[in-house]
Amino acid sequence: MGCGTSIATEPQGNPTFKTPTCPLAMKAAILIQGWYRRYMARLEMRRRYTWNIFQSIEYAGEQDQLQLSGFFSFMLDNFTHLSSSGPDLISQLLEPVVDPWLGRDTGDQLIPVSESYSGPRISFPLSVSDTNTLLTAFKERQTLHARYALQLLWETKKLLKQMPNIVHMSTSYAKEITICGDLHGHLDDLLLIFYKNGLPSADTPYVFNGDFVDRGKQSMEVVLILFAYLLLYPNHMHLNRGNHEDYIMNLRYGFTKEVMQKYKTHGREILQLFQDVFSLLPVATVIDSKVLIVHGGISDQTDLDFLNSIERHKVKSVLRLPRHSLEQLDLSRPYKQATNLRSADSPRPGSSRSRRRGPRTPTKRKRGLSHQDSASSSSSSSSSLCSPRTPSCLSPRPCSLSPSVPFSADVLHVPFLDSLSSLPPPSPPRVEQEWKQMVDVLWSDPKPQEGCSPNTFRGGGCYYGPDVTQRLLLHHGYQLLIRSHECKQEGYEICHGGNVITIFSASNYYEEGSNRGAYVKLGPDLVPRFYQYQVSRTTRKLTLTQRVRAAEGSALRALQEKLFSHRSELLTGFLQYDHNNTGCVSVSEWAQVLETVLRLDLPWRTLRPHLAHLAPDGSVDYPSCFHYMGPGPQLPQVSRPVTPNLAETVVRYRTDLEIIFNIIDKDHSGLISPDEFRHTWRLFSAHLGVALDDGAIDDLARSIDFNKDGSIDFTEFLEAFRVVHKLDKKDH
Amino acid sequence: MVSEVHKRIHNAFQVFDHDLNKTVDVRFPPVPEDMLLTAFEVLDQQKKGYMEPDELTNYMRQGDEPFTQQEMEEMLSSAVDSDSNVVYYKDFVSMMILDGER
Repeated sequence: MGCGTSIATEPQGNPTFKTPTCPLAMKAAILIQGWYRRYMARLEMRRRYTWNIFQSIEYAGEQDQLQLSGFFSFMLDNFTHLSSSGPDLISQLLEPVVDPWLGRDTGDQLIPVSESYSGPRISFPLSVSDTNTLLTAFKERQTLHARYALQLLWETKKLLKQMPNIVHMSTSYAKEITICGDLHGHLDDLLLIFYKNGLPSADTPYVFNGDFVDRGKQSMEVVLILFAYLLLYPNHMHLNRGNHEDYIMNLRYGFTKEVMQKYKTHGREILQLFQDVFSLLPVATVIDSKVLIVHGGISDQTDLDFLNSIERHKVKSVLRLPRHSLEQLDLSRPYKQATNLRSADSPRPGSSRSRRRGPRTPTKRKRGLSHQDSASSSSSSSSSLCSPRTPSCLSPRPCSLSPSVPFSADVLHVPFLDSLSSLPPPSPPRVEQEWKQMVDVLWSDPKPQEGCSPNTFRGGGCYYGPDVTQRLLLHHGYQLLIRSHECKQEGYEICHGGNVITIFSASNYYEEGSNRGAYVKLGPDLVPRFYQYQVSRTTRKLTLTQRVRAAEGSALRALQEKLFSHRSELLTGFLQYDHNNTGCVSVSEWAQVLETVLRLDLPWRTLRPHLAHLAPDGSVDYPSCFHYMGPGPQLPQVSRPVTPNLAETVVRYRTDLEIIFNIIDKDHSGLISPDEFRHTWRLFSAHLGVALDDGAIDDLARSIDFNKDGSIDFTEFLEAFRVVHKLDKKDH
Repeated sequence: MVSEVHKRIHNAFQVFDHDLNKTVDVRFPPVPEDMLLTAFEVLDQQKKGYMEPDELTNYMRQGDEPFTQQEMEEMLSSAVDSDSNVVYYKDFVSMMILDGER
């Protein structure tokens, strides 16, 4: 115990007796101890809220994605045939060309590889030397030639077609099976796992539980290595589908972009093939008929026998409702939900909602509760219908670029989304049941409370309680559910009384130092053993303080951007308390407005010093929380603060706009033609419900000087939204 | 009546709620920087302006609630100057205070 020279080894309790240190020095030492412990306690608090910010914003982003895919679905099914002119760009990208089971030409026409290509070369059928070649090349940051990438994908597709939806494995063939969670393009984590645990082989079988791609910069390499080992050891390497093995998710979270950047010529072809391959991935693995492994989890509707019988490849993206159910929709229905949803959102004086809550639990979330009664399609509590039925309700926010309409009135007037959510629930046909089974398995999260409820935080899937888990395990005679899907600080977490394990294998997921990664091994005794690790990108070892500070800084910046992008709603909220227009509200009013508008369930009082200044009387100077200005050039301040200004709108929709831009910009050159721009604008103005006729769009297109080179980059594209905003204002 | 009592209790607590986050830390009251510095100076008996890691460890391992091994390592990892391998406590204190006030 302790340091050799320490003299504090006497029995405790009598400080004057036990130490020859003079009383003054003793007092000084105790003061320093107390001070340091207080500092560390506060550091721990900061670490926790930083985590909360990252997680809240991550899930809010998923809701946005669901809303955007609602937009795609709408465009695909309704808008595209309304626009008579021009090619239908969206549907070209989004619709699969051929049913994967029919199998296009199986890579007969191979792309020639030039002599000058210095990257890895592989031959089929793959051998151990080929996978070694790939590992070595990817470690050196080389890219695999499109010819080999396509060939690898063709072979993978051929193999996956023979796989059942639920794969069964046995520990009797190997001593232990290793299960890994989300990798999200973190190649370094995958290589570290292989280094620590051994390469996949008959002796070292692996299950990778989905979310191989997106977010990280080396998704392509990660997924190619996994597929290569799948081809090499089809009986000892198993890949479950995750919610990111989905081409619509890939549009937002980076995989599409990464592929297009790495494969300029053949990128689109590769992406098409990925659509097929992803939809052919098995959805579950069962070990020894005792352990169920799925990416997200289950719901009270999950029926593994039914799940095993569905044609999984038909669910290209769980973000796309089966087409026929969209055709039943009557888009002319009025937006009857709007008023009651809004009233549920408006801040209520005297409400104690913003009081600090205990540990975060899913059911405490208020977000989206208001829509449950209107959007739930069945009597069951586990409605998992996400896009496009519910998203407008999940993240209520103004969707209009028009400054002339007060946001509170048009907050839900995104026509298609609302009309979808106000439909009477049709009896779900089989296609929809299949789709729902998939959504629940890929998107759900466990919760500590009993029962099953819609996953309003993510906007898709459900929350399942310990009773739901228990029932399913009992029904099948299983003893354990292993799932991934959620980042955990230690890389893994055990819940539901030991019945559920979450395993997450991407370390430093939110930020350098934010979390460890882990994998779990199961032997014939089926007792899980966890292995943790953390990839270090810097040679310098950061102190705890430095790590917390770095993560906190980027979390707060993300949060400030969030505040800025909801500026007008927040100002309206503040003004309800600030009758005399002093620019100040009390701390609790400030916190309440923030939570009511943003619904991020964060400790706002604790965060206050980082987000807003105090006035001399101790109240919050609320305009100070918008001092952050969005990316890009300095934007003009609006004179009337309550109307949503364009800077705010652009910040809020920046990600959506970028995705749309990337779709239109088919060759990913970073430039789009004026014609494509007009088309985009038409789509987007319809999405936002902004009335703007073709003439006005053409005026807009003309009014922008495209450098006389006939094309627009993304900055000009964003700029165009500002210009239109002004034109629009003039009209009214 | 009850609400009046609640309000008074609330006001009483607020005096100690330094961060206005409805939390009163009863264990470790905040220590002003100058007092903290004085404390280090008391321990730095030779008035060197710095302390050896062992010297600091010695003191922190005393008292009713001595530092654990882990606490000590964590403290030294941010306190020890990597070039000279000693603790320049003045720099350490101002760095920590600055960080704590962010």
